[in-house]
Amino acid sequence: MEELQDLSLGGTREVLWNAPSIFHEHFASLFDYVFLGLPFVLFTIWGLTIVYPLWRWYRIVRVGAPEDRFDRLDVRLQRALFEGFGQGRVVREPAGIVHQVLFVSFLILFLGTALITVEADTKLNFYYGSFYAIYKLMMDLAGVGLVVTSCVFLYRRYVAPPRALVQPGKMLDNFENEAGYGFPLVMLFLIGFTGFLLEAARMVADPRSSDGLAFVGIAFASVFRAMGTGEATHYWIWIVHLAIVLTFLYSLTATKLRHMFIAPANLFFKKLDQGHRATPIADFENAETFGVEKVEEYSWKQLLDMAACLECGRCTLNCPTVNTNKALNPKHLVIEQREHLLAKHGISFLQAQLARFTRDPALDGDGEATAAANGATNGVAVDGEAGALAAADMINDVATQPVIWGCTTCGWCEEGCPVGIEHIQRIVDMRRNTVLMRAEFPADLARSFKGTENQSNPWGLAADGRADWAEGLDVPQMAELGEDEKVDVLYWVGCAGSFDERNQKTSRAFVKIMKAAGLKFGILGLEESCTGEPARRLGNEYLYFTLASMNVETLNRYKFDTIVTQCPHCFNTIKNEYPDLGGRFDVVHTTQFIEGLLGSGKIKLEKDFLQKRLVMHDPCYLGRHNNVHEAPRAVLDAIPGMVREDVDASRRRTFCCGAGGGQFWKEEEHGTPRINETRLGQLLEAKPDTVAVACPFCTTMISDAAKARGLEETLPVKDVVEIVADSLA
Amino acid sequence: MKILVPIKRVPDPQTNIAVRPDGTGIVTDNVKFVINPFCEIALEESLRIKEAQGEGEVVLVSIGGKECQEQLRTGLAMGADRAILVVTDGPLDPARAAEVLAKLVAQESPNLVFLGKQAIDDDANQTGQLLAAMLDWPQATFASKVVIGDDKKSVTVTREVDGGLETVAFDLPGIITSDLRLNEPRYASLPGIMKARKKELKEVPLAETGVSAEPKVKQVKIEPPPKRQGGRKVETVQELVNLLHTEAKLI
Repeated sequence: MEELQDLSLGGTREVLWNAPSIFHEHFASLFDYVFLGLPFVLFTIWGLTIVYPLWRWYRIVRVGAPEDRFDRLDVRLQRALFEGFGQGRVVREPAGIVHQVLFVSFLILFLGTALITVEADTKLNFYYGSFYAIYKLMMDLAGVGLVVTSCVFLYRRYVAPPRALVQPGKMLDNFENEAGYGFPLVMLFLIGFTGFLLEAARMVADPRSSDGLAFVGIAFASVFRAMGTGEATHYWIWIVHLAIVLTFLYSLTATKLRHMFIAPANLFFKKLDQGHRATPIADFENAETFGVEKVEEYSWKQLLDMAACLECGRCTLNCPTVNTNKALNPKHLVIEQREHLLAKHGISFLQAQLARFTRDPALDGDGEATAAANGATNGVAVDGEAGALAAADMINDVATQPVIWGCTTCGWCEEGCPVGIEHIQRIVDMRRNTVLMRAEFPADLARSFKGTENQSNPWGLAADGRADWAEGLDVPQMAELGEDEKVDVLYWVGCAGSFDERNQKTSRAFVKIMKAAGLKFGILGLEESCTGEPARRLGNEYLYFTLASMNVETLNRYKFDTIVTQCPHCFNTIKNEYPDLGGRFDVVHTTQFIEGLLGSGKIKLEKDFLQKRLVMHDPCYLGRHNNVHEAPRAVLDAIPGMVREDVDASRRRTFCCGAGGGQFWKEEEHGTPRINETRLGQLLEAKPDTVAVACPFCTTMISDAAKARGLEETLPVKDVVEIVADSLA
Repeated sequence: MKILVPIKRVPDPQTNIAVRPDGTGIVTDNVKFVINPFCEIALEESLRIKEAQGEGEVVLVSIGGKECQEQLRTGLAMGADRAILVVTDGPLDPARAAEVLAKLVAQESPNLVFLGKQAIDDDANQTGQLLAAMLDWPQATFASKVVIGDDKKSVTVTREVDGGLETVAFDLPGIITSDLRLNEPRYASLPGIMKARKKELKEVPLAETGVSAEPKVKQVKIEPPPKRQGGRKVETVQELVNLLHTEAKLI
């Protein structure tokens, strides 16, 4: 046997010592290495087994509707690198740290092994001496990392799974689901473990080899030495270790481990929008169908989302519906939609031929017709459970109405998802279909839709009362000022600030602040109408489109520096969604605006808060969706005598009050406790004397929860604007 | 089965109504108009009857200015098959409206005329009854439940009467007027709205019907209710009793 390296340098070992001779071929050139012999065969098999599942998913994803996700490639690439390979989002939760250790360990072992290939098959000679010693230490450390983390994950998946890991009931009966997470994790464990055994067996059987700093190998070797093992033991461990490694490598993309390819891809294609923006319906005026009724009507990116889900359940951690036992579980929804997609379009070429061959010819016509009607890829109807899942009505059978209508669009699921899955649009697309095409939705919504249509506010209150809150405050309406007069601030009051008695107080407080700052401002008054935000979240894109177009036109008529609004929903829509309709305005939230006034010294906060404890509730549409966390806090902290506390679920981890996504306008879906009461419970952990909010709907929801607990007298729930106005000199 | 559904254009019930200073009517600037809610319920029930039978026609009628097209289109979007607008300069009083409808019934020969029990603007509650009299057709007013006979030749109607329910039946053709609790009208789907744009909306000048626009009953004047006075808080029961005695003169 020819030696592959120069052993005379010392402090090394012979590569491929005692391996079967077929692995010991020596190649004359790189060409021979790549195209001849055993490595070629192994690589070819590997290529096919790896590529086929990916190619299959590529074909499935291509079924989806077109969507451009190839803009700003530099930003996308950066995200794929940092959040994908770098796992920037994975490490946000404790289990993610374990995942990172596993990933790094695996990477070290992979690169280390590759390095030996370089040593053995090239003229380079570096595998000796102190390099060898440290290399051994690194590899052993990585091995320990692999063994320990795979055990932690096996424990977490199968012994004591947290609620996030609970799987949905309906899962397809296929290799990937059968293998689950156990198979790849056991494989990872065995790779590490047999690696140590192999190392130890070699130390015992080949006296020429150096131990380096392989501390685990040395420990195992003492056991082998005591057992008196020899070359045969090493030989067989070598073969077993290789078999495990190959099985693992060949199964990479057929099991859940496929995520190592699809997750970075999905992050690459994730939407780049800042703030929350619903995807507009293309060519709204001429479209014939609206929203998504069948799974293939989703865009290819939305199907890629389904492929990318690794079922970690982080979307559920702070989900308002999962945490209050409602029907909607974003993880279960995306998995069930994926299984539906697979049942419908995932039939492989081989399966298709087999099904054609075995099917009773008399049934063939019917079967194919049904399959074609369902839009199945290979024109083959599947029998049994998978067939039923393929034929299921996606909205009513796969998703179901309580699931579709449960979502508050708070955005936690997308914030928490480490692989960039976009949940909200998928749900809103289904709502669009059921509202616009079928006119089916929870009964309460008809009143708010009609109210918005007729009186331009979801309460349906008389539109001519929109400016009544300002009576006696001398608040000019833009129409009175005229189109040529420019104001500093166009105050967008919003429906809640205009019509809801509780929130009218906030509007009046804000007028007090603007007057104290000596600003020239105006309201649209009777010309203001609902931004269309609730209608849009509820899938009534037609109503949104009508209202939003009208508002953009009205706003474009007037001259102002900036729009200020106390409603984060109005804020988000004007800021992030009106540009699609030609409305580009400078818009800030009241808390941001007040922060500016404090900064420029236009107002001073002097009245003492008397060391009372205050806790801040972050509205989803201000905080999570638009990343405004610090402005309300800075404003509150400017008040003398303020003792401000934060709870764990704050800022990006805030928990929804239950009003968003149009929930305010319908009954909460079935399941207890109520979302707002759950949220109040979290806020009470800070033992507050006051709850500060920065959204009219949060104000109402948290106040209601306080009432339900009998705290309405003792726990004031106040908008930051009101607290500031109270503190004015 | 062919059903004729007359609908009236009225101000949205949520609107604050202001009376013109001269008392000749209401201020209509900035007022949003809708299908009279009772008419909408009648239309919804007619659509349900048609859908249950899987055949038939629902024909809308409105009487008024061209602006009534808006409400007719809404009705078409909900699912009515076609619409007729009898064009007049202003609203007709219930008796004249019934005369117009009687003419249309003669032309269209529907099996059923389904009206709202009253319009929320003038609250007259007469048109259905007058039409029944003019046609000499049976009628059931204030319907809270409508069941068409299996032979499609008769109808059983449950009526909301003071303190209870009354069930009546008659052979078609006939007249039904709807009450509030009959159903919850649907929301038009977007394809429905699109389709409505292409559905037939025939305009018929009032003169063609041969009915006079001259009202049988003249509206002399309308006036708003007196403004509500703000309430007052009293400290003790004794004070309340005293005030009720001395100021309100109730006791």
